Amino acid sequence: MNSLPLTPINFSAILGSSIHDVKNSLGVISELIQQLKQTNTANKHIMQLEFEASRMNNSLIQLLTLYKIEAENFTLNIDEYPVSELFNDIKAQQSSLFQLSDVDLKVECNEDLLCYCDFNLICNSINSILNNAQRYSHKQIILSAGQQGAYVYFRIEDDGAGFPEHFMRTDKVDFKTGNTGLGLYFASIIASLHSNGNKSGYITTTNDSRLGGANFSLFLP
Amino acid sequence: MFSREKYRIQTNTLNNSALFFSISNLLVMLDLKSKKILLIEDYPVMRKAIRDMLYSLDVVTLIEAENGQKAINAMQAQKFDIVLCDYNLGEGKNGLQVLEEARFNKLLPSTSAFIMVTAEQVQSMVISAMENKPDEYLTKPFTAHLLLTRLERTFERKLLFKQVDAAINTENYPLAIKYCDQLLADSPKKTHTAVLKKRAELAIHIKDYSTAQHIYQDILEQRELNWALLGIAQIHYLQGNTEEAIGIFQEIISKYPMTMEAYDLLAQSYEAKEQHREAQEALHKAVQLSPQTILRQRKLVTIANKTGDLETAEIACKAAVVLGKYSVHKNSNDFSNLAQIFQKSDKKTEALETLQSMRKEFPNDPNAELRAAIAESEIYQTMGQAEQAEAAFNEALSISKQYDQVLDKEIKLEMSKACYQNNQEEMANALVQQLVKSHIDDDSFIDQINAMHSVIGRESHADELINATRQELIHINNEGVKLYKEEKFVEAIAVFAKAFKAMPENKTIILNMTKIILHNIKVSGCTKENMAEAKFYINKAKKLGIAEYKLHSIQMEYTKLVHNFNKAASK
Repeated sequence: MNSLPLTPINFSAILGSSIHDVKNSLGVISELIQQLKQTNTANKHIMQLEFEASRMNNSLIQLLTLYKIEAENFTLNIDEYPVSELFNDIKAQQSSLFQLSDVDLKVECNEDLLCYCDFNLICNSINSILNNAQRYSHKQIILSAGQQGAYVYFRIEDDGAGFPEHFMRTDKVDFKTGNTGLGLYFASIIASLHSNGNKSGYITTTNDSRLGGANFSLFLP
Repeated sequence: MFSREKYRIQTNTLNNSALFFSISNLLVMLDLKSKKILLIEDYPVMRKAIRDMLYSLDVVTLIEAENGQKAINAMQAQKFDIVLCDYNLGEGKNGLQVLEEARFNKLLPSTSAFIMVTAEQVQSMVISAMENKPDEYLTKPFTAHLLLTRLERTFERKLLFKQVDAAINTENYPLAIKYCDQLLADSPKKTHTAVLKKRAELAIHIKDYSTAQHIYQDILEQRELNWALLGIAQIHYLQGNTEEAIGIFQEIISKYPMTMEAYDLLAQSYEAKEQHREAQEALHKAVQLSPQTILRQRKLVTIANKTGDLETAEIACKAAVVLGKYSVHKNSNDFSNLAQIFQKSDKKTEALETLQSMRKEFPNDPNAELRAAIAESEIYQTMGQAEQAEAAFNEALSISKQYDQVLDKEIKLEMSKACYQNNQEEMANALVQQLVKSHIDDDSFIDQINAMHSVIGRESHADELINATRQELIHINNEGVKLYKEEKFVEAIAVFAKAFKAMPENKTIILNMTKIILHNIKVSGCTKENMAEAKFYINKAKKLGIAEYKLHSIQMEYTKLVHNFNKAASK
């Protein structure tokens, strides 16, 4: 009997299709959680389940996006948006998380502030950074935005212990340290894809938060 | 239970620092109690989940549909404020086709919101779903709060453009422009780009290209946005600068490959320059990215037929047949086109089979039956089966005679060609004469008549007929207008009435006829008879698809007369 010729494994393609599979399963899980919620309205575990599912979903979207960037069939969908519109979306996405914890989220932004961005990707980036901030903060998080020269910045400040040393150098993402920082890596990639003329977006991670904890900023030209 | 008070998220309401204002407060929310909602979702578990979610948002009026056809039926029966539609709806219409049909048959008022929901973000699905421009696009799973936020955003936008859209709906473009300019003066700065975008589109619509160009250029100076580039290219195309247009469309496609309109317009520009191969290439790329749009597949069929690329034509035509099954644009033409392509590629059996399935798919449709009969006669002819060819042609003849009133103009033209080819000169001439007289104002159809005649080597025949008809029309029109100026209204009406009999579907004649009848009523007074006559011609004009703005003043005049007539009658 002839053995079948083996095709070399294209790992990233397999990864891409696996993510789709997992995302579909996650969709079913989320539907079931929605049903559970109807009968167990105040159950904290179900709320936690819902939050974890949405966090996984967020991460998978990030993975898929990174995969598409790698496979070179990806372009941003840039248009002009009021920052308040992005913040409304983010607040809606975050509502179940902040219902769970004792952390307050304050949102500050000028009503007329505009930015040029890919709406879904920027919301997704900020959402995952907020998810992490919520884990490490005690009482409060401030989400703000403003204009700084030729850039619009989005800032997340918390009152936690601040970023560990190795997170503050986002030019070198170290996936071996255990805590991968996928959210930060994703944010830095997405920011850098936003360009205007010779300027590109970037992120900064410092510990000079007004609340004493971490300060994450995403700059878009 | 979804409770608005529970949220721990606060908006900064401290107004102490001059820089910060609070963004829209969570407590000031859209009232869904008064909104009529249609939920379209085939999967019962999901439908229940979304239903419960909607009720938790204080929704009162909710109708559910488990498939696309039921959704369309519901939308025909009543108008909804919000349509929440899943993209995947199992067997039958998908979400895209529901939206396409709703837009095409005007089942969605401009004040309503259509929200498309998809399960996953597969690129081709997302692009397809976006093609008919839903108001919002949500990916499952989504929370009640996110749905509400998106609905608020949509209705805020609709409210902003309420007057503009209302003016556009009545085709009163100058008024729409006036409202846009007011918005630019009065509305918050954050809305300006959206208003400018609409303002530029309106400028293009009334052929005020310089204003449109200025707007797009100002926007591009701030930032390169694909839609502003698209606008600039479109203006070049409309002004006949096809080369420049092509250059910019290509630039857009290379920088922003998901801008589907750019492919269509690029193909259109190449077509204008008779560069069919390049046009085909542009459309081919577009259908690869977004295969779900039937009208684009059809265009590709037409162009591939021109370039003689039968392979591409066959693939696109098969796609059109499949997409047509549940589409508002379903047409037996796709089947007969496919049969013709098969015939040209020497696949006679497939050609005849296609015509068989066409008959099954379009029972009791004279257009389809005539198409099938004509095509069969042609195929049998090329197969050398003269007897069957003749039988099929005779069937075509009898359908053509019996259903003359309900047949499309395109199929009649095809029938006339078949008649010439089967030496039925007299029948062919009669058909062509009728078509030319009825559609003398329709330039693109007159082109089709010419093209058909050149295929069978009778260009001069068509030319003569078309010129004679144009002369006749001008003559009658001048005579009628002359009598009108001499205030011989009754005589003028008689002239147009005669012309109407000869060319019952000629738009110029109907329009002038209606104007004179109305004028005559104004001068010599209303009677039941002349009011009924006026109404008859106005309805006929509407049925012929005369543009709303051309009918607008006539309609107003008529309404005024009706009002006066009723007042006089009640005295």
